[in-house]
Amino acid sequence: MVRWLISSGLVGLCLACGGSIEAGQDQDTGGANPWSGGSGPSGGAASGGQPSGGLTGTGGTQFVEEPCPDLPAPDPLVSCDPLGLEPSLACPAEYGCYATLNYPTERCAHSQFVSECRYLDATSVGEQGEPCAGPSDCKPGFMCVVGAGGGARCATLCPLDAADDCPDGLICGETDVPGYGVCY
Amino acid sequence: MRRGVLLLGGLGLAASWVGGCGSRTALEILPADAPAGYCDADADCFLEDLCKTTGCVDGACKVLAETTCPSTDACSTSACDPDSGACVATPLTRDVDGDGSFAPLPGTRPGAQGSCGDDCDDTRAAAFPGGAEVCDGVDNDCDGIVDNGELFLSPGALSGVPTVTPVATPDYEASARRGIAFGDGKFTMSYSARKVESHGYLSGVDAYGQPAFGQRPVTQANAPSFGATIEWSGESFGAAWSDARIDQNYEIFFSLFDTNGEKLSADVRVTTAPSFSLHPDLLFDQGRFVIVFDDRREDDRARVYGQLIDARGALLGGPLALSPEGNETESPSVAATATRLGVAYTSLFDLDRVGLEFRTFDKQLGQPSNPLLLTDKDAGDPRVTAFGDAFLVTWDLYSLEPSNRGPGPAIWGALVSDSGALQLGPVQLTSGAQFARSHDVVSLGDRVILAWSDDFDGNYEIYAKVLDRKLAELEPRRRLTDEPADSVGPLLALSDQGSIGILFDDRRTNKPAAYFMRLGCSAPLP
Repeated sequence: MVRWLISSGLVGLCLACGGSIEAGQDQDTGGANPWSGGSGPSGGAASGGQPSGGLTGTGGTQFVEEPCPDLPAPDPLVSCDPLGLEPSLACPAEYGCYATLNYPTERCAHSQFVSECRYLDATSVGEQGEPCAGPSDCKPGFMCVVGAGGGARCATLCPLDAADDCPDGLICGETDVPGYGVCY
Repeated sequence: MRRGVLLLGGLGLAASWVGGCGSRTALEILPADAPAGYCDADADCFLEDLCKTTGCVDGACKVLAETTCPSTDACSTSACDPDSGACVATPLTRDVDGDGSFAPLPGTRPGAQGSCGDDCDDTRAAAFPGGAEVCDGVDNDCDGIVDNGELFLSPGALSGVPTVTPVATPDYEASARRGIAFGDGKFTMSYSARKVESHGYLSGVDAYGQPAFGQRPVTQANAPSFGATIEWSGESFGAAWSDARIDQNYEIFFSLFDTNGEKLSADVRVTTAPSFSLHPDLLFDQGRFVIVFDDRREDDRARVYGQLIDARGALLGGPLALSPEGNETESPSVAATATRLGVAYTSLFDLDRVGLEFRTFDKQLGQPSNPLLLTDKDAGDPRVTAFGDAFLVTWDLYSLEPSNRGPGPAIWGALVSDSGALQLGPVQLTSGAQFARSHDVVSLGDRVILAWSDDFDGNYEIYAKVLDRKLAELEPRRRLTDEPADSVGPLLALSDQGSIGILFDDRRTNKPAAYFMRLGCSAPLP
């Protein structure tokens, strides 16, 4: 299963809630397989940490981290409004708007915000706290996150920078999708 | 002169051998391929290594004897110093904090027979056997109790709502707390802060809450990260966190920072799982860091692992599975008594039931106890705290049952022996609220301070109370925040100046942000 973490409060939020978003296999990840490569102790260096020094331990590879330039973040790929607040960014009928994140593929790169309309099928019904394997397993207005101690779960999207409408007892916690939180 | 050696130490050598391990001044090394006839007398032969006695045999210099240095006690090794020829004893344990008391050997109690050390806390010079107990957040006399008899929350110790200060600089759109630790006179705090995307940072305040150092990045990577869990080793701060710089996938990293938040070592990649590695918790215990985390290396199923790291930041062996095969397990927490490590984690029993298990390990993360099931449903955000010789396991209630998804009304806890046997509980530790969540605990040896957030007064505020070894109240609930906005997620750290630092989240300025406040201890009320 292809998964990516849109988490945001990986910890802050995930400890109590979850913080990563699931991107199901149906998601077009732009040709990059998030799970390709990268296992084994050399993965750290290969992924971008310039191995200048290379002190190798018995359990992994220690690499010296070269400072990254302060690169600008890529423009977000906005096709729709995941919160449904902007009518001009509404999805067509039978489609729902989902927020996800493209993780960096090169050293020092930023992640990239993506919102896109996805076809709603019979599985797109997950609500607060229901299990999911990817964003389309949740209803529009929800995000598939991991980290709550119960695997991946749908959670209600909420605006981090404004008052939220989270159900009683829940609060809006950050995810790694910039500006978007989930009720947890 | 054919010998090509200086004879400055000839007599010295002889004298040192007679004496066993005396000193001398000879400095030249005899050529290894010196031919026969190279020397005329023993005095012609000497080495820089004063641990070896040389002599002239059949015209050639040879090593006639080497100084041996048997250990004279079980707590040191002995070896001959080649510069002096003297036997030098090296203790098996260290006195990192320089207070004159040595740390015990791993897995032994301070002062116990065979422990080779009696320092109960070798990260703080103010803690050693015979020290005078004062109100400073330290077990000064190593009797197992911190600030004996002092109060932290009662009137007189706490007057009104503590002063609160923001942690991140104001140019960030949002921030969130992640970790706090105290060392070298400073609270070092870790948090995420977001402009375009979130990154992890450190900043520091002194024991009185005054700025100590400004915002420093946890990592130079531009990929999203969310701050680190941090621990003081006595020499530096260790930090563990997840970020997505590699393989489009979150992995666990570790690094060391000085007491001004400057990085001391390269980032060490701890995990290499093909799926997310999350939720690191960190501990420094008897000279090593212990990281516990969950990752999804096996069939994309979450499982809890642990990794030992030495004080210089080098990995010690590879990751070890800490939770049994079967249920998916996540969100581990770790603590250490003198002899064992305790790890609590959530366990997914079915789609609607997240339970909580606990087990203990030896100091090498081996010899696990059988998993102890503390609850088979509605558990979240577990914490483990060493409480004397036992472990206090605490958790939030968080239901995934369709009719009632969300936080429950109380924080719960149980006492477990270091062999993994249930001693007390589970019991409800807080009451009076409809919703309670996100707690933390610090131990004072004979009592603990529990901080949490609940809606006892309407919206989420932060409260604290003190519990004894029977988990009964010693000091009742005290409200620590008073804002119309929700305040949640307290993280606690004891200072060595009689204060407790608290890092938490709230929205008092209409944007989510991390804040710091502190409590002070005082003499008991008359």
